[in-house]
Amino acid sequence: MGDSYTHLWSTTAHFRDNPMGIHWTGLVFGLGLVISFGYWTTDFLVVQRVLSAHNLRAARMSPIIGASFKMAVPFIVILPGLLALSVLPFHLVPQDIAIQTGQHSYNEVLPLMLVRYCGPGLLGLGVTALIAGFMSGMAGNVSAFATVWTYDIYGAFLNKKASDSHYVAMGRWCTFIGVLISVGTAYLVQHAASIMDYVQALFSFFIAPLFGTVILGMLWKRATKAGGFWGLLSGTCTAIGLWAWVHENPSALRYVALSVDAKAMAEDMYRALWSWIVCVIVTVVVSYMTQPRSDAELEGLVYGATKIPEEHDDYWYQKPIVWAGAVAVVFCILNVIFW
Amino acid sequence: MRGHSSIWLFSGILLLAYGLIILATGLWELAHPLVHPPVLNSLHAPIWWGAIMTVAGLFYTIRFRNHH
Repeated sequence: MGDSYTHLWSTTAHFRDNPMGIHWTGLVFGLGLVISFGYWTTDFLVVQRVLSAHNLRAARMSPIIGASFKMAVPFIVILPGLLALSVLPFHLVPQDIAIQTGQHSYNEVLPLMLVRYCGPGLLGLGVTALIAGFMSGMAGNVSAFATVWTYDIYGAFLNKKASDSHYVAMGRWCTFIGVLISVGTAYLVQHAASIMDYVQALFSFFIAPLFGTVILGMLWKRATKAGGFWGLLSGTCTAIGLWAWVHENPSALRYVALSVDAKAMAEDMYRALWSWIVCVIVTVVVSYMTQPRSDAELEGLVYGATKIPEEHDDYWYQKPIVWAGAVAVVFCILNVIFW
Repeated sequence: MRGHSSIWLFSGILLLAYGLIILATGLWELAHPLVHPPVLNSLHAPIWWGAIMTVAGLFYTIRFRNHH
């Protein structure tokens, strides 16, 4: 088994040396700085859990608890793949090759392992668990979709004075339509190199520039409405434009992903980084060209202009910073072990 | 007013039901071997897993049954 299967960083000095075709700058700045921060701060699936916390400490603890579970994900996601690599009697290939040759694709690794090791009873349990996992992720996303549409767009701008029962009905229809849209978008995945590549491509289109807008809007008092709008629009257009450029002319990959050896996933990470940078630059430039808002208007919206409620912890182990530190230490240890 | 049922009661009932079905399948396979057995079938995974899930399911069902 090659080093690239069991190490995080040691093979990322050059695009050629690892199967993802990525350089460490793409991982650190594209995935780490932009996509991951964006996912944790702007993806409503994550944010709604913090918004529904019953006090400030619970809200601060929820991403920390989430992070500690998130660190276990590689063991759940990558370990079955590594096991399959050593125990399956045949070699798994990428999806596009599998369609041509009739071999098994590496997207099928979990079902293949289930069929190999589980008899009729346990196989049913395994399939049930997979479906339950899909459903919980889907339910979270669809309910987030219904909430954002009904509360933040429909109720806030389109129909401000409707009855509660009207909004409930709207939310239910949103859930139904959201499921239909999800089913439809599943067909788009067929055109991506893998499911992960598809998700990262969407993240680079929407989450990466949105993170630039949210972080500047939250922390920078000088940011203006026009700056946020044009920054977000230009960031999203940059991402979609870069994607279309490489789609039409594959040789453009060496400009977008900095190397001819880059693969689809590396392209996603660099595309996210470029769209974030464009969003931030446009937001800053447009904000300086437009009229700033007074501190009084920004109260409750921007970090520097808002009084943060004080909280009191009785014991040291109730402080979120202690647990954040513990998670950071484990994170560093894991990175050293799997360097 | 009726008492509230704990969420763990439903987890217990589900575990118990799954456990009994898997345990029964495993025992059935002892008497009627599969035509295409999965790898490592000699370890009788369905019996072990079915038994563990049945015990866990029983524990949660009894521990969190309705209080009146």
